[in-house]
Amino acid sequence: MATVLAIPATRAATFAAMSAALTGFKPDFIAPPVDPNQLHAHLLHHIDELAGTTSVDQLLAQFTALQAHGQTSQQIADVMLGISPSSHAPAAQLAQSIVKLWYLGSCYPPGSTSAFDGNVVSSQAYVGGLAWRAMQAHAMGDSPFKFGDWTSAPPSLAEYGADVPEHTS
Amino acid sequence: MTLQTQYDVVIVGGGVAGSIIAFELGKKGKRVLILNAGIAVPDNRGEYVENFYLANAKTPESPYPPLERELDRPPVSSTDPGLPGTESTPRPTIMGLDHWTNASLSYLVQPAPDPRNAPKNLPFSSTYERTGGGTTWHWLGTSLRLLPHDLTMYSTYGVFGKSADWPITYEELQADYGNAEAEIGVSASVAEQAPLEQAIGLTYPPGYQYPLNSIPFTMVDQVVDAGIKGMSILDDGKNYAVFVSPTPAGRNSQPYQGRRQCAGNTSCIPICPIQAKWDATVSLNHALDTGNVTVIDQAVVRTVQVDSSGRISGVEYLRWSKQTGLDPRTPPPPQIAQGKMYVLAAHAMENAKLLLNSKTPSLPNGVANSSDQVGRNLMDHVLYLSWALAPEGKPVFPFRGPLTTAGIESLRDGDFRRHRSAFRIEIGNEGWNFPVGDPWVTVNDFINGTNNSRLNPMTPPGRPLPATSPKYGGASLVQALNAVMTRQFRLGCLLEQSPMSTNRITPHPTLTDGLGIPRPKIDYSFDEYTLNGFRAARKTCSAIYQRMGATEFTDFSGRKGQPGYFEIDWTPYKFFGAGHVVGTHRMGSDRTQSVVDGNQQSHDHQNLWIVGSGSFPTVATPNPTLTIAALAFRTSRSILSALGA
Repeated sequence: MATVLAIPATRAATFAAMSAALTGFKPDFIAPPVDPNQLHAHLLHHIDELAGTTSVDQLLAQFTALQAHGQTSQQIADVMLGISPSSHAPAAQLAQSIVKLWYLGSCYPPGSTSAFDGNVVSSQAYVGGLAWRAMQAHAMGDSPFKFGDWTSAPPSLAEYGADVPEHTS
Repeated sequence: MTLQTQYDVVIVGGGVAGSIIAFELGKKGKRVLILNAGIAVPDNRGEYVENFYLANAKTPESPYPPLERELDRPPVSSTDPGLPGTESTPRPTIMGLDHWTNASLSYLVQPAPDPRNAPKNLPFSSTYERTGGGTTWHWLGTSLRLLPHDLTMYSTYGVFGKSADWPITYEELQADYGNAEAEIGVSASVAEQAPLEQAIGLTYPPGYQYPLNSIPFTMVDQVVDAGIKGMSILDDGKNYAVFVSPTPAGRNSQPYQGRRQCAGNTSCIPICPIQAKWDATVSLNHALDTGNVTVIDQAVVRTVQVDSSGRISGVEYLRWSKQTGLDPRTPPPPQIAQGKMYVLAAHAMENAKLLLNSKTPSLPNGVANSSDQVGRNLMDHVLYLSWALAPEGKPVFPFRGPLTTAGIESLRDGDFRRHRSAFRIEIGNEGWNFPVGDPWVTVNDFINGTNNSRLNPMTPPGRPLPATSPKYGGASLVQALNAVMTRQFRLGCLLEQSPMSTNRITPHPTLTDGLGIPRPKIDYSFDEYTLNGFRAARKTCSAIYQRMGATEFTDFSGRKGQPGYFEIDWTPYKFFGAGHVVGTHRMGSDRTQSVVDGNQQSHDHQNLWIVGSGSFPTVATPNPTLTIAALAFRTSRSILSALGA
């Protein structure tokens, strides 16, 4: 992940905040205060390449407006992803691609409905995929655990960075 | 044509058998040459791990060259497996299997399916590697022994014909199983395996202990184990106990021979990123450390040469410099390697291909083939896959630990083998990755509002899918996925397959690889014995799920046209290859019906040994690597004896 990123910090920060709402993971997990990997900036770079900065900026503006109106993270996700109200608008499809990129480390064309349309953007994006965390596991091939940890329940979803109540699972 | 130095032993291939034999011979001061068809074993596996991370299709072959993205031409399609007719070391791949009737995309040349009801012209579905370390780069690590009855299927159960009886007994193999378990570093406990003695006759020498402690159960194993306590199945009026056993594994439960303890990366296939799982490069390094073993990489053996006395006089090989984009009409100049003794350890498929490609006017059937059995009796562990969700409230937290840590071995033997295949049941720790393609499929379903997994909403097979599926985002997405994906598990039944002379590999008369070497043409079908095994596997897995209170989702009805799809009694099935290619140069005491003897020495040529799972007369049910390794020790002694050591 050696991409040189010329993305303004504020834009990257807005993308991180939006990503947190869309994915259901905590903002400080999506963009940790100390973050040598800068995964969020790296993924923004790929989304810009996929859809063009104009489309991405429109999405960021939509997020900022919803946030300014006091919407909760879940409400923001539901609107932007075309869940409630239901929508298949290009913006909602791009938002879905962003969630897929975070969850699977793969870039999917907006509007794709095939699980096999994605292209892995980097090893860091793959191993950092949120899908593994959503099931309290780890990317296949990248275990942070040690021998025998599999014999008992994993850490909680909240400990995996999910923005859910602490007691969940 | 250049003449090379003469060695004591020339070995074709550096996989399990070739590496162990080289090590055993090198230790005794014998000069050994290994001809490795592929590129040199890399100094570290980081590049291969990176290849795996970056692969869109994380198939068993995905880390290893030649990679799809290395091809020096535009891809034919998004699932382009490469063009085997222009590669130096093409091999079967899962992506090639998707195009199995297209010989420009599939290395194995396979006929179109036969529409008749009895499954004919099935695609041979296993894959393998052609490089140093061989297919153990992506073996699972399962290190089970054969059972005594596995070696006597004809005399015990009256099936498969006399040639199905191995010319060696389980007792004769015991010591070499111990040698193999020490070399590989098998983690298991004799005490934990003890219930299998009564159930299926598995025994160990008195006082025997495995070199490493066993691998503990995952939560998946624990839930299956608890859920089927006391279970038995009825077959032909007899009850057979069904219980879970820890799987002996070639992965380290503690540091061993300079390698680390398993950290549960859940990627044993296609690659263990920390080499906690043994692979043949470990033994290959041991062999090199003797100082008596030389490896020539990028050297594909084209023919085996025989002198007028019937002894092997050399092997002819082609050294390639480019892996793809070759013109088969202009191969590199052949070179000859010579030794006193020769070992073919190139893989069951490649050994047979090589012997059959070596025909001459005086050997019209090819080398070592007076019996006409070379290439025949091709077998695999055909795999019946099923999948389910653990009972609600009992998450199993898959995608942690090794890919498998336990199985149901208690059904590997019994009187039912008179009429149907036995099988072992492997418990998978990788959720629905194998059967469905998760996490990709279910994650996409929950984001897109689709239902390819049948989990959005949960709709077990047999119930109609709702017209619409919900979409999720934010914390709702996390919780919706977590609720189902932490309950995913699967069972894989490895069925023994009948040896059939009509199931065979022959060199294709016109289609070649990029070096101009004829490629394997496959003929492959199932008989009623194997189909009966599928029926029993399906029934048994469903009974297990029912007993556990799990919800089964096995469904192949939408997979017509996919490789491995077939129907029995109008019920859709799909089989998968297990990567356990067996039987193409079987051993036996009758030289008219077999290719090698119990030492894997050719009946026809005194200074030739043909080794590996191709020597197995029957596939039985255990994953074959441990037996390949055990036989390699036996063969090493035979070669040393022939060398007068």
